[in-house]
Amino acid sequence: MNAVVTLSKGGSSVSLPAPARIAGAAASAGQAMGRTAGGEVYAYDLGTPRREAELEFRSLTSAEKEALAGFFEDDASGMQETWTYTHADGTVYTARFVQDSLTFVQFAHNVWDVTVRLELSALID
Amino acid sequence: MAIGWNLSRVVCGPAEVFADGVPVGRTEGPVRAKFSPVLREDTRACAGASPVDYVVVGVRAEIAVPLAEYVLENVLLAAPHAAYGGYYAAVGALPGMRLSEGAVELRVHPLSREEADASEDVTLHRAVCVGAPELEYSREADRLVEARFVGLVDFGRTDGDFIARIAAPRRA
Repeated sequence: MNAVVTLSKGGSSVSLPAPARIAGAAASAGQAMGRTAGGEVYAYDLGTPRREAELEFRSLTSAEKEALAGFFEDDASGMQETWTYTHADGTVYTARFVQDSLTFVQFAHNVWDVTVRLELSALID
Repeated sequence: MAIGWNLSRVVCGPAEVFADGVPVGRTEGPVRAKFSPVLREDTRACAGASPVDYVVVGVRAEIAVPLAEYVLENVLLAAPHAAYGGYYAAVGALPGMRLSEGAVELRVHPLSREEADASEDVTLHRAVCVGAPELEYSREADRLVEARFVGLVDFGRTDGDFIARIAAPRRA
């Protein structure tokens, strides 16, 4: 067990305190559903199943906030690139941001909270 | 190794109180000063609800002084929402007053120390009185003005010294 998680791509990496809470670990079948005019349900497979996670980071320092924002903008290019996420238990995932912005909430000077939504290669534990 | 207990290091008993450098009299009984950190408990999902750290997100500095001199100036100091009325404190203004407008530098000087010896003084840089002053009329000779001050942030000072100073002698 580690008290930190790591986001890395190429030669860049950012270490953050492990999330205070995993607000969601979603297993999606990757389908779309609708109904015909007669009320019949239909569903389509849109691709491979997706695994998503919503991670709540609390009490980040301003330096950690800047590092995460820099990784999001420059290394991950927002949602465009995949990168490597190493969780607190040591499990390594291929990850992608599934949000076009990060919203940091200031609790106090040098104390920031942020929620990050990721698409991961497996269901997070 | 045991460390000897030296009673002279303990700040207790009556003190002289200064507001913006002006003496406002002595206290009857002990002065209680409390400096409470405001903490945010830091947890990690991987460790459950167990705290892994505490983040200091503020400080609440409080000093309670029982002022022995029952004079109008001290009543107004303890009731900053009141207005000077000549021989009385007028209470009952419209709402909206900011206590910070009447903040004073509050310095408590133990009487056990010489006047020029500030080695055990406690100072709130910008103190406001937030406690309801209690005036007891049951004993004429022992009428106190109880005042409870809280230290506000003084942004004119530097990081680390925004609120208060607690002087204490070094261990010999």
